[in-house]
Amino acid sequence: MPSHTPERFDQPLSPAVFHILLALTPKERHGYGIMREVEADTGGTMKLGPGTLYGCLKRMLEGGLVEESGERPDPDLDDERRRYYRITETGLRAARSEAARLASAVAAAQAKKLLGRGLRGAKANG
Amino acid sequence: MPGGAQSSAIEKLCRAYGLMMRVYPRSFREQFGQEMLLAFRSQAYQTSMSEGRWGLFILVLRTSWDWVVTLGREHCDTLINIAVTALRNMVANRLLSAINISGLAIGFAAAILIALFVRDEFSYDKWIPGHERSFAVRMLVSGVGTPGGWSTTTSDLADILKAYFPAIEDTARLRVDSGSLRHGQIEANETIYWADPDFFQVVPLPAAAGNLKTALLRPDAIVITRRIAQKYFGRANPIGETLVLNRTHLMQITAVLEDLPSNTHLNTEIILSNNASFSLLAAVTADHRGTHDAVFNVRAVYTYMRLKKDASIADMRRAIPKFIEKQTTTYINGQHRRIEPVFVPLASVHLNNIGDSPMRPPGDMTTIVAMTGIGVLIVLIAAINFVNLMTSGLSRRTIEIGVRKLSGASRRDIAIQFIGESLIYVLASTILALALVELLLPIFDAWLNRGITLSRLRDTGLLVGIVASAILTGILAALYPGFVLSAFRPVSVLRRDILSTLSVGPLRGTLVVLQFAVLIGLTVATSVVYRQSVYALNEGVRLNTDRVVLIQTACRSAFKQEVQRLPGVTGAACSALVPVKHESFTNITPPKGGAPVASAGDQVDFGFFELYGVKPLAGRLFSQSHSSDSAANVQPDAQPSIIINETAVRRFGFYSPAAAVGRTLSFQRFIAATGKLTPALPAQIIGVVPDFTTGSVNEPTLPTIFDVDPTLFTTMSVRLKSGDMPETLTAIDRLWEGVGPPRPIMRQFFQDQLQGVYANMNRTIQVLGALALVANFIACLGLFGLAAAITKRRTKEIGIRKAMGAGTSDILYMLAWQFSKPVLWANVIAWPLAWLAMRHWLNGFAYHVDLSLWQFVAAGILALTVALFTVASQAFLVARQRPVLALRHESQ
Repeated sequence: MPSHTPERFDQPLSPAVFHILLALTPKERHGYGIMREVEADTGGTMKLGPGTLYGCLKRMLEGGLVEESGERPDPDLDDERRRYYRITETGLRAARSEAARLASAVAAAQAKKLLGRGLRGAKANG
Repeated sequence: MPGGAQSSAIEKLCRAYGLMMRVYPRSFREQFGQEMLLAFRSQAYQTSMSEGRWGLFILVLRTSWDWVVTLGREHCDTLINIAVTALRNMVANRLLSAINISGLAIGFAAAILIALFVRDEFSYDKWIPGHERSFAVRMLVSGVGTPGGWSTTTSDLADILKAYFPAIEDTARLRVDSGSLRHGQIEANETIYWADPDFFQVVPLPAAAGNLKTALLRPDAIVITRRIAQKYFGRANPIGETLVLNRTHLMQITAVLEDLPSNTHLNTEIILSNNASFSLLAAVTADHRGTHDAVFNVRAVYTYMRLKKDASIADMRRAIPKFIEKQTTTYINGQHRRIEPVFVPLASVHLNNIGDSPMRPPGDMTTIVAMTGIGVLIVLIAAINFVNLMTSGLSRRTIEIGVRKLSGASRRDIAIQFIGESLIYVLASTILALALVELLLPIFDAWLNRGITLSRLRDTGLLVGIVASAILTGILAALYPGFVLSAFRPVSVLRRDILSTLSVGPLRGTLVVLQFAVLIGLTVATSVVYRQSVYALNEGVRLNTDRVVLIQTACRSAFKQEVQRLPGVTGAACSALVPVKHESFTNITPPKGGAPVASAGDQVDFGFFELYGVKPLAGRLFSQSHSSDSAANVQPDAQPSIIINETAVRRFGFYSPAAAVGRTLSFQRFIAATGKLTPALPAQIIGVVPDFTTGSVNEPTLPTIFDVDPTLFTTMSVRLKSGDMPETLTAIDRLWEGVGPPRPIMRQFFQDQLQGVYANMNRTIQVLGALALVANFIACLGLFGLAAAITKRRTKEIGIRKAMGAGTSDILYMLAWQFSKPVLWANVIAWPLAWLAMRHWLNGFAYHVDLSLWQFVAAGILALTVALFTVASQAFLVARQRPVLALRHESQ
């Protein structure tokens, strides 16, 4: 069964799925491109393996979050066996919803002084 | 770009990753395989350039972990997809699915119960610690004498063996006896065993309290089990307490044994020391006279031996021929008699019974093989149902398969889908079967009187067996639909051309024929075994045993006369012989010469034959008016008159029963008072009686000589009047207390004793009957499902037939004939096979019923009736439908 159906986007997305959506947000990419973009986005803390990436892509294709792109940015320079993926409207909504959820979580953490200055202040008090 | 060596290493890594990817589900691999490899290659080159070899190494580790994690997930997805499709199909075809799962579950449950029983049979005595070095000694007698095997041996064999074979560490003997035990107000007759003091070193039974090594050293020692301790003392550890044996001897409890489990050949719950001056074993040991050629039962003991560590039983067995030649071959009247000791490992005693006096009823390999065979047949019937019902639902799934094939599903994917679905059905059936076993096991266990529990299911072998057979059934059932249907081209599947070419009909027909053949065979087997048991319990005995009570007594008190005077008693007679349980043998040389003939010698009272309704074929019966008829009235150097049976007439070479009367036979007779055998003396034959069963119907009747010798009587037969039997029995019990020997009365109805003798056969009938019922039920369930599927598919055809003028009866006839044909064919297969199998079984009995044609015809008619009744409801529903409704029916 597809694990990410559009109806279930009130549920949190997995970090891998969210970062893949982020990687595809400005433009379509092939698999290795997504891997590099995710690594760059996360400052190297998240390195997707091929199994994780394509497993996620399979479920995201089934769930309608991403789709294959027929266009190739520069066909002459690229391996024709590579497929490109782009984010769908549903995927965009899901990414926004997840970003909002994370933002509210960050706001809550900040309010409780778990981030930045708050943390340092807590240490100094201790 | 990396250098040449680095580049070659990366290409090797890519090839390795390509191999690893083959383990992913095919659909996933086909969709993303190439891209994954490309991504990995790019990653590898990039890492190699930026981070060097170490970075490449880390990448390999990370990718391997990624492979492990995602492999499980992708396979789970495939399994979940299969499960969801299977569940959708189950819900869509609720009736068929329920029939399918429950049929298979009942079959599995029956098979698991049978497997538990078989496992229990093979577990006998393996719980005794160190049982591997302990052996029971049995005896095979050949040449002159009572031929065949003995579960007991002569009393001196243990010492002879120990002296001859240095490999033997120790030997010990048991002598069975009966006696009363009393503690306070609690008194009961018990089976007791006199044992050599080192018995527990030879057969190391587990102790609950006390030291078994020294427990039997005291002359007044008695060792009992926890159960017996609870019975007399109400607690499990009464060491130091006393029990009164036979209202005379005070015995002190020196040790308590753990209760004997049901899976043992021993019933030694009460063991007394052979050091007691009144020990029967000691008495037997003291008197060696004639132990090789006399009346064996008088001196018979159970002999056990324990081998030294590292000693080889195979070496001992190889040395047996020489041992026999030197030690146990004797000569009687110039003819040799050979006694061969047989060493049976403790764990094999139950299933390798030799002789006719085992402590507990032995196991029967034939029953085990038959039950295993039936278990396999039941699973086969259930599996046939399963295949039938799976294929009957195929036509409805052609479109689904066509669409899947058009969407790119390969033949393998379709086959995996079918096998997966089939395994889900099988899994559901197995879980239901285990639940059924849990529910039925207490009833099954109580019926068999065993200690079989479900915990034995934890046994790896059995679990693996159950799971393996379940998986095998699932795969076999899915093979045909999986591989045949998946082979068709998508267009054919969608155009439903497949329906005309998909020949599941013949396969299904063959399977139904096989199923009913098994059913008919089981029905025939059950009826033959039942008839044989009725024969064994009635005509086979050839005695009038109605309302006869057997009382254990030596008949030396006034008890017999008092019993005869009771108004509810029609007659009483004593004997050493209890029909169907005789133990006394002798060798007789025929009057015309030749080898001595092994014969039974039995002592009966005046009036014994009359009591059992036996009339003489020639001559007369014993009479008190002839003083020479009783051994009590003849001198020790003479023989009393004798009566012989028909077999004796033939074996001793007499022309006819009348010709035997007045002639003499010479033989040795046992004198109880001296414990000696007389020399061979002539005895006059005064009458000939018909053969009646002195053993069981399993063995042929021996030539038998009857005489009147009150000193050897052991049993009194009392025939009761038909009314007021409970009152008469109470009166007999009261008389026993007044004038009988000082112990509680031991009495049993003749028919109950017979039931005991034929307990194994009765159990076989019950097992066969129950299994035939289970098989019948599963077959009916399958047939019902098949009828439902077939009639549903033929609804449209039936509508057309009705529109063309066919009546309800025509349709019913058509459907009935369709389902009758396989049953009729099943008879063709079942009859000859059942005939061969049952003839083989009956040939194991010396006296048996004949196979009759009506049993086969009846089984066939029964199967046909059951089949027709099963499909009748479905057929009737369809046949009565209005043509217009039937024509509207969408058969797919």
